[in-house]
Amino acid sequence: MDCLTVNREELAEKYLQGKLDSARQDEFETHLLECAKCTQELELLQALRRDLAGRAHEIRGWTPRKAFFFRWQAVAIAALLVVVIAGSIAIRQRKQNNTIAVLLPPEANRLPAPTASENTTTTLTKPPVPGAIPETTQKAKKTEVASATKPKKTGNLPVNGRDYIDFTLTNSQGARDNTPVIGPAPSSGRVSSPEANANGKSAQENAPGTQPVPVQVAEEKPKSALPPGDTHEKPELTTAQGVELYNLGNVVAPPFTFTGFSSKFFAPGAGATNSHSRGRQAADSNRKLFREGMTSYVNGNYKEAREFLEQAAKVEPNAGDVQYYLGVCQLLTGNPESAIDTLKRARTMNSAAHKQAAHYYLAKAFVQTMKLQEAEDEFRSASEMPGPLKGDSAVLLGRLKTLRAQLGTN
Amino acid sequence: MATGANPAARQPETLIGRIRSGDEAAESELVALYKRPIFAIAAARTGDREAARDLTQEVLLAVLQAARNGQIRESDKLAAFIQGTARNLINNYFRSRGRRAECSLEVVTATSLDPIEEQEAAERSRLLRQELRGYSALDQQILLFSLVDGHSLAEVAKRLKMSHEAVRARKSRLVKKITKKFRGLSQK
Repeated sequence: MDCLTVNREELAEKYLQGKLDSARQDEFETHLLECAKCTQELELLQALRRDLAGRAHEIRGWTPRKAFFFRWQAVAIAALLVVVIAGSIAIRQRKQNNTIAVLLPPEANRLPAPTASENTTTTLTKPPVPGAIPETTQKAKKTEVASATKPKKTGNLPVNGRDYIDFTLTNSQGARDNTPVIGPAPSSGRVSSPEANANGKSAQENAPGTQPVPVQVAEEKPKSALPPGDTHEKPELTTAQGVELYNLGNVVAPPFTFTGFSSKFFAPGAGATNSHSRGRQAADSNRKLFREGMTSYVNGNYKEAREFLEQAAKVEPNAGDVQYYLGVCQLLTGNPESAIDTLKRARTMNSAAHKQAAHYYLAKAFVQTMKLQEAEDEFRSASEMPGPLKGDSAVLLGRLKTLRAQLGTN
Repeated sequence: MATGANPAARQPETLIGRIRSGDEAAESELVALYKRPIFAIAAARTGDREAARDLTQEVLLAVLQAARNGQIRESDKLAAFIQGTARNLINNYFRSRGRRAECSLEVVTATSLDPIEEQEAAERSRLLRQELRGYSALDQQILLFSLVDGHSLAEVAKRLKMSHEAVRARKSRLVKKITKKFRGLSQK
C-alpha cells in the first residue's frame, strides 16, 4: 500500500468509520507505521471528527439554504429584482433632479431644451450650489447609498442562511464599512443630538440628499455612555468586538426530536380504557399545549411556539421541558430579558438532558443583554457538566473571557 | 528523538540490531518513531484516548521486549510486527477491559506523556476548531454527515437537497483545504 492508494481510495476516512475489512485495515495500519505523512493526516481527520462530533447538536439544527440557483424560479425572481432595483434607481434619479432644480437659484433654472436623443433626465450645467451634491457624482453614489443603508446578508458568519436574531448592541458603534451587518445597523451610544431619530442616526445623517456619515470606530479608549443607574457593563465596542459579541450571543434553535404524535395524544381519552383515571386525561390535555408548541417549533414558527408554550407554562408550571423550550423561543423571537427569567427556572427544574442546555442558552441570553459576567458563569457551568454542549461551552467561555479582557471588564 | 543522528542508524534493521546489543538510545529512538502512529491506531480502534495512551505504552513495551530478546527476526518487517502486536493487545483490551501488563516502563513512560507534544496537539485542535467555525453551515453539515455520521455522499446529497457531484466536490475541496493548512503545523 502506498500514499497514492490511501488518498485515492479515501482509506483514512473509511478506516475511522470502520468500513475497511480486516485485511485492508491491517495493511493500512502497517502503512501508517511507515508513513509519517499519512499518520499526520489521520490525526488531523481524527481531530476534525472530534470537533464536529462535539458540536453535532448545534450543526444538525441548522437549516441550510436550498440550492435552487439553477431553477427557473430563481432566474425569474432574480430578473424581477433587477427590474425593481433599476426602476427604483430611476425614480430616485428623477426625484433628485427635481430637488436640485428647486435648490438652484432662479436664474439657474433655464434648462436647455431636451432633444429627441436625450433621456428624461435633465442635465444641469450651472455651477453647483454649496451643499448640493454634483449630479455627476450622484449616480455613482446612488448604489453606494442604497447598499450602505440596505442591510447586507451575512455570507461568512458560520451559521445558517436564515434570518436570525439581531439583538441591539447598546452603546456600540459600528463603522459603515464592508463588515457584514445583520438587520438594521446598531444604534450609536454617543448620539445625543436632539435631532437624532429613533434609529440613533444624527441629524446630519438624516438630512436629505446627504451621504450617511461613517461613524468612526472607537479605536481609542471610549467614553462610557451608560445611562444613569445602569450597573451592567456596556463598554464601547470596536467593529471586531461587536462581531465577536454577536457570534457569542447568536442563537441556533436546538433540535427537538420526537417520534411523532399518535392520535391518542391529540385526543385525550381516545382509545383509553375505562381504567384510565381522569387525572391521566387531564395530564394528556396539559401536554397538548406543549405538543402544539413543539409542532410549531419544529416547523420553525418560533413566535407561535412561544405563545403555545407560554400557555403550557401556566398549566404546567413545574415542567422543565416547557420552561426550557419557552426560554429558547423567547431568545429566538428577540426577548432575551424574558428568556433569562425562564431559563433560570429551567436550569433548576430540568433533568440532566436539558440542564446543560439551559445553562448554555442562559449564557447566550446574558450575552445578548450585555451581562457578560453572568454569561461567563453560565458558560462555565455548562462546560463543567457532561453533555453534548460541553465542548462548545468551553470554547465560547474562552472567547468570552478574551473579549472581556479586551474590554477591560474582568 | 535523537537529533543529528545518522539517518541510517534509525532504519528499522539498524535499530533492532542496536537494541539487541543493549543500546538504550536506540530504544528511545524506536519509541519516538512509532509512538504517534501506534497512538493513532489505538485511538481509532478503541475510540478512547485514555485507553489509547495505555495501550500505546503496552505495545511499545512488548515491541521493545521482543527486540531485546531477538524475537524480531525480520527487521525489514518491523512495521508489520508492531501492527500485529498492537492489534493483538487491542483485542485483548476489548476482551479483558482493564487487564494491564505489569513491568518496568521507564523508557516508555518518560517519552509517552510529552507535555510539549500535548500542548502542541491542543493548540492544533484549537486552530482547527477556529478554522471550522469559519466555514458555512452547509460545509460543516457536509463534513459532519460524511465524516462523523458515516453517510455516503449520495445520502448526504439527498439530505441536503444537493447533487451528488456538488457534495463530492465541496467535501473534497474542504478536506484538501484543511489538510493543506494544517499539515504544516505538525511538530514533525
